[in-house]
Amino acid sequence: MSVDSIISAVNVNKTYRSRDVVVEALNDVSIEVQAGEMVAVMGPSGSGKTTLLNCMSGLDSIDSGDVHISGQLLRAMSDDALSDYRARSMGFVFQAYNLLPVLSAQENVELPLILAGVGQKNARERAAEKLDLVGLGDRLDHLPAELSGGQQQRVAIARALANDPAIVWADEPTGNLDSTNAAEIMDLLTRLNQEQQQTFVLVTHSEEVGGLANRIIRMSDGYVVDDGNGNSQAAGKPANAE
Amino acid sequence: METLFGIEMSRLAGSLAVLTVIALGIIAFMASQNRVLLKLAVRNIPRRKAQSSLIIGGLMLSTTIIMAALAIGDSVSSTIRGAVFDALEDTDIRVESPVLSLFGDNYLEQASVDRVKSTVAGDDRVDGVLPVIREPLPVLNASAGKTVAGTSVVGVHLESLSGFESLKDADGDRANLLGIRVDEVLVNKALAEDLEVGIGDEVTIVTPEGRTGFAVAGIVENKGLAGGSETTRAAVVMSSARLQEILDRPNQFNEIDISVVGGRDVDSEISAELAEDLKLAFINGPAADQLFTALKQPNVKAALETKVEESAGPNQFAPDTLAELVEELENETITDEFKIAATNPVTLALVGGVIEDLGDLQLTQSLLLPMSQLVELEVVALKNEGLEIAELVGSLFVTIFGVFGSFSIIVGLLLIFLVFVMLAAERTGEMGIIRAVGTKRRHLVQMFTYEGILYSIGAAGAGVILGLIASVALVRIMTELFSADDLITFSYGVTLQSIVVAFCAGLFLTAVTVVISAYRVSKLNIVVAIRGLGQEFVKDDIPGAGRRFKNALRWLGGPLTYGFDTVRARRSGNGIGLRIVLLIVWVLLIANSFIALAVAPDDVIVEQVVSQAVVVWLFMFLFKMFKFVQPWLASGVPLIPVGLLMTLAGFTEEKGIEGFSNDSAFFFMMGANIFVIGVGLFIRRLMDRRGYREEVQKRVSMTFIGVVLLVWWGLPFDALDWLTGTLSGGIDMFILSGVSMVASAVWVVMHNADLIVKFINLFLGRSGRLRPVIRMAIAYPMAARFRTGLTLAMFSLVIFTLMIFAILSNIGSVIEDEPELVSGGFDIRTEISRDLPIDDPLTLIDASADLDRSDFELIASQSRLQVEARQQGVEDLSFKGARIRGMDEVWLSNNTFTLTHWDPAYGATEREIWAAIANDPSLTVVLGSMIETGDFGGGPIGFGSILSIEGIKSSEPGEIEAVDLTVRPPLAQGVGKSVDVKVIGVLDQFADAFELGAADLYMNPDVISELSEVPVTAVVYKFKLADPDRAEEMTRLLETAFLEHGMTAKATTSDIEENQRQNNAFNLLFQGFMGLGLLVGVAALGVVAFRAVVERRQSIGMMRALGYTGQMVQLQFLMESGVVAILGSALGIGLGTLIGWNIFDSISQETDGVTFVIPWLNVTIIVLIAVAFSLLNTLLPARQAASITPSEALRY
Repeated sequence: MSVDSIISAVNVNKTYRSRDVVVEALNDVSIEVQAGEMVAVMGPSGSGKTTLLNCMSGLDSIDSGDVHISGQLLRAMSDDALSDYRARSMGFVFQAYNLLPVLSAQENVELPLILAGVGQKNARERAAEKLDLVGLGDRLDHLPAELSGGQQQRVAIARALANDPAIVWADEPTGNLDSTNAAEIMDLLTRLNQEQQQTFVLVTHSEEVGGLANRIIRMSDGYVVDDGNGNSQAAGKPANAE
Repeated sequence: METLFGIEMSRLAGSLAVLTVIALGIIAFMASQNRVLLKLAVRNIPRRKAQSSLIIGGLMLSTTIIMAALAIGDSVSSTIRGAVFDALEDTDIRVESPVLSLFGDNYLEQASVDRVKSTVAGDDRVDGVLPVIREPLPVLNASAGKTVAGTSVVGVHLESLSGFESLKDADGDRANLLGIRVDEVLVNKALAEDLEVGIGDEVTIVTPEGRTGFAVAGIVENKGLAGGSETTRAAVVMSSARLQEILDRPNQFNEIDISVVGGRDVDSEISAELAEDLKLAFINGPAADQLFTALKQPNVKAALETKVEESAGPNQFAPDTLAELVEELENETITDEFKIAATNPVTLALVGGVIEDLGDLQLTQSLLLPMSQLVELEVVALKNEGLEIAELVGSLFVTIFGVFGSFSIIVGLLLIFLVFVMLAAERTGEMGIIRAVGTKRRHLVQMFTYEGILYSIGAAGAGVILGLIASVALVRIMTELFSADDLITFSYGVTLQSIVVAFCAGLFLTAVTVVISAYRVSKLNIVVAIRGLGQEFVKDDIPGAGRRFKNALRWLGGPLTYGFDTVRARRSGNGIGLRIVLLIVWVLLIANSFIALAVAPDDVIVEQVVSQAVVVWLFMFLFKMFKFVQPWLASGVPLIPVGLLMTLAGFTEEKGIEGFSNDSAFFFMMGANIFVIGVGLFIRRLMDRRGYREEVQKRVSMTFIGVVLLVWWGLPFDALDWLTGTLSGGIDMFILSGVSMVASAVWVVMHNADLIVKFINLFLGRSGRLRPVIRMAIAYPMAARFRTGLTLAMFSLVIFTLMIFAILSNIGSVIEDEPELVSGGFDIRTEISRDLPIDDPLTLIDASADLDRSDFELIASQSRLQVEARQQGVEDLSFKGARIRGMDEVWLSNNTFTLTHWDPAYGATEREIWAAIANDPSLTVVLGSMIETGDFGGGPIGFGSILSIEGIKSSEPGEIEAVDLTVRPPLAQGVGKSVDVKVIGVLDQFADAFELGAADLYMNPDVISELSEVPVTAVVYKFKLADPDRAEEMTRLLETAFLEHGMTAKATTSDIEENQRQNNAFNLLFQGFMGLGLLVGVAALGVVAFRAVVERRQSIGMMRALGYTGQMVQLQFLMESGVVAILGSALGIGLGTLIGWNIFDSISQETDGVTFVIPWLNVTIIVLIAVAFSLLNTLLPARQAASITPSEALRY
């Protein structure tokens, strides 16, 4: 693991079983991401992109291998410790925005702050700041249902940034948006990456979105076929695979 | 009601209220620590109003059922209390002669009245003493030809009315008792109606001395002095002086009523205290001293102490007064406590038995006199006794409704679980993201709990209201049910305590279920949840065995470990608010109990508190021990020995292991459950090792468990008695068996759902256009196993209970077809006033214009004598209450009763046995209710105060060896006389069933003259008619012809009809109550259907795109509910019939002539209602589903 890498995955394997069908979602995947980097994970459907993101972020468990985040071994952390870690040091953006429909924009952004133990007043202010940052300073009290798709995704980004996390994980952040909105969101993410020096890991289908990242990791059938540094880990991959 | 399950209602309500407040306080505290979770919870409620209403509707049903049961109990209590108050009004205590009228004169002389008056003079607890004569006499309205035999004719000492002035006239004004002239009487409303008399009309009172006419001076309420008796409400009130005249009883009374201050609502403690003081005042001092000295002799005292020890224990009958009496013997001189204890007749009888047992004839003889003379005047705290009965009956009703309601409550709880599982399913995505942003599992539990608690509070409130409404309706049915008797007016009444108990219990049950479902939800897989791929639950990481064992052992440290863990949690930065609150509560609980122990070391309650505090400790340790073993449970191996041991522990001591087996059906059956599950899981493990596919493993092992348990629980109750001995088990076993059977059946069905789908498709799948609809309608519910299983279980359980009830209510209706079982061949039974005996009934028949000798085939007479009796050669030698029925020659040679047991030494047929009795006055046949019965018949009636026969078992009919009894007059009535009697036969249980005999000895009347000092005349006449169809008409004609003798007549057929009518109404009442459970099942189907519409939006769109019409979608939804409702009904009917048959089988072993009938009409109606309501409830979601447009549904 290099000195600067904030995320390090070594020989990660993940298999899904359903009834008698076994799907090997990740095969001996090893990846490193440097602090402040914006990395895009790309590949065809079913190639294991989202699984990789989920496993590296600790949302999902792995069968073997090690994942370190900021030098901490995820496997050694309890569910509670992982939850705490997510609350303090990670942000998530999903394709379907996943805002809580009963909370206003500001309250949605406050949630991770409160969970991280930030005082109520402070949390309000910081949430407002973040919403301002994503250009929604005038929509604080709107419920998700009262916002457009692009706006909802901005709230989701503000929520992901609320705790100034070291890493932001984004799974198809523009997947549900039209091209104009998608471009705007990507502008926002790259700007934040440059200004705040936060690490971004994006999963995307879109070459356009991928093109905005510092590096593209390409995956196929659970293998990393190109880690963006010119390395392929697909040596053991079956011959008929891509 | 004042008690519930033996706990004082006020204490129960208080504790529950305090616990609820504490629990809500803790939850509020937690919520204040993390307001955002509360906010999420609160805002979710108004989000979907229809759904929230449905949830509250579902949640409230448990509370509704609890509330309805309690309110019915309250109403029954308050009705009986009301009846007691109405009957007694101002009278709280009654002083009577200790002599029963049958054994001599039970009238009191003026001296006794003066003695009572002087005893209470100046006592500020007393506000009146009223000497009274009360005699049941015929009263008639000659001009209208109307009579009421057995009217309470009450003579009141008008100069002593102070304190007894509450009698009101028909207008509600105070009745003018003082204004009654010598030739006037007050008539109560009941008598006025029966005789059709008004003010100024004349009524005639018939006495042994002749007839006397009186003018009706006023009409008064049927209350207090004019309250009537237990058999008829009709009453006449007049001056005692005049009644003494017409009865030829100058200056005599037969009761002295005492009114305690406080009017109607008496303070029962003051009343009891006063009664005790009066008892002491009227005890014969020298007799008591003599008894005390005799009982203090070391050998007598030792024998009494042994008796106390023997009679201790929950199942033995011995009044506390026996122990008290023995305890008082420690004193040097006689104490008041000793005297009071000695006045208890049961205690005295037990003492008599012990003394006789010693074999010291001289001692026995010397004590007979003091024992019989001990009580000079009998003091009865009438009102207190009545109120106690009210309490008892009220609790009994709650217990009955509670037991049957518990099925509905279980179903209600399943519904709550289902509702929250559905709610969680709907919010999976949201919960995923909440977890992703860093919340912990317990936060999800909290969030769900907050929301659940809010729903629960609303639901408990609504449930209480609905329960009250339901109980009003049910009480109305009961009013109808009892109105024909006219003796009791049903009134609705509910106490605040019951409302508090229902609310708190409902809230508690709901909240616990919510927390359990919330815990399940908290384990969802975040990734699957966020991506909206449904629900998947993660498995906990299991620490190694060593670590688990260490964890368990640490908990031996109890609060110390907990405190230590709290500090550690704090250090690692976790929230510890809740931990601290719980720790404080726990420490307080323990500290409190130790303080209480120091203050009152003897108090049993304190010990209970201590044990409760320790129980929490122990429970945590056991829980951790369970966690230690848990990972191995899936292999089934640990369950096998545990189950076997538990099963063995349930054996009777004889058949099992001495000192280990404890005769418990619960242990036996539960142990077997665990064993079977263990074996099933082990089979699965073996199949796994052999490489079978998971589906196959599951199907085989789970089907094995389900089928074996079904067979196991379905066995007849006594099928394994040869192995285990006859096990004891209560009504809880009934509930357990129902739940186990339904669970097993559903288990089997759901694990073979695919086979069922294939099977149904094979038959129904061919039906043209409907084919795709049918296919989908079966496929969907069978695919969602968890929720369909739950719904199916609910539905089956409800139908199961209704089915059993329907079957049970039809058992025993055999007497309708064979009235001779009850009547013994006589169509009419009559009773006359004891003071107005009949010389020869035929003379009166001849004298009657309406009757003719040829109307009657047979006329038989019976005399009766209250006696005491005991069985010889058994452990309990004390004398107990019994009644001799002296049957005349006509009856003995003509009755058609069947005997279940007989001694062949005296005859091989009924006829021969009765002939033996006719020839020998020392032989008797007893009632069927007096012998030993099995589980379902209950013990002999009357506990231990009434004679029962040991050694003759109802389950073993046939030949017996005669049993010897000793019979004597009641102790206080005669001295020295006793006769030996042989029981040579036992009557069928239906014999004379409507005559309310409890311990009747059917004998030759000659025995009565041996026992009684005064001649005993016949009081019962039975008539066999030439034309039985005229029975109803003949009862009226007989009452008129035998008017002078106060005859009341009843036709057996009308008894049976009335009995049947009451049974039917009672069954209807229960079915109404159980119907509440059906509501739950129906609601469950609604919940499932609503959820399905939301969940399957896309697939509905797809189906529409493929060519399904809106109607087809609607039909499919309806059919889905229909499939579950029909399958559930089928399971319920099948299992209900099986258990119903087992119960019937158990009863029929002890009772001849019962029939097993499945009331198909009843069942069909129940099922039709269930299915129809289910479909109705699914109609709305089905329509919603049908209205979904494909384009809209497929957009996302």
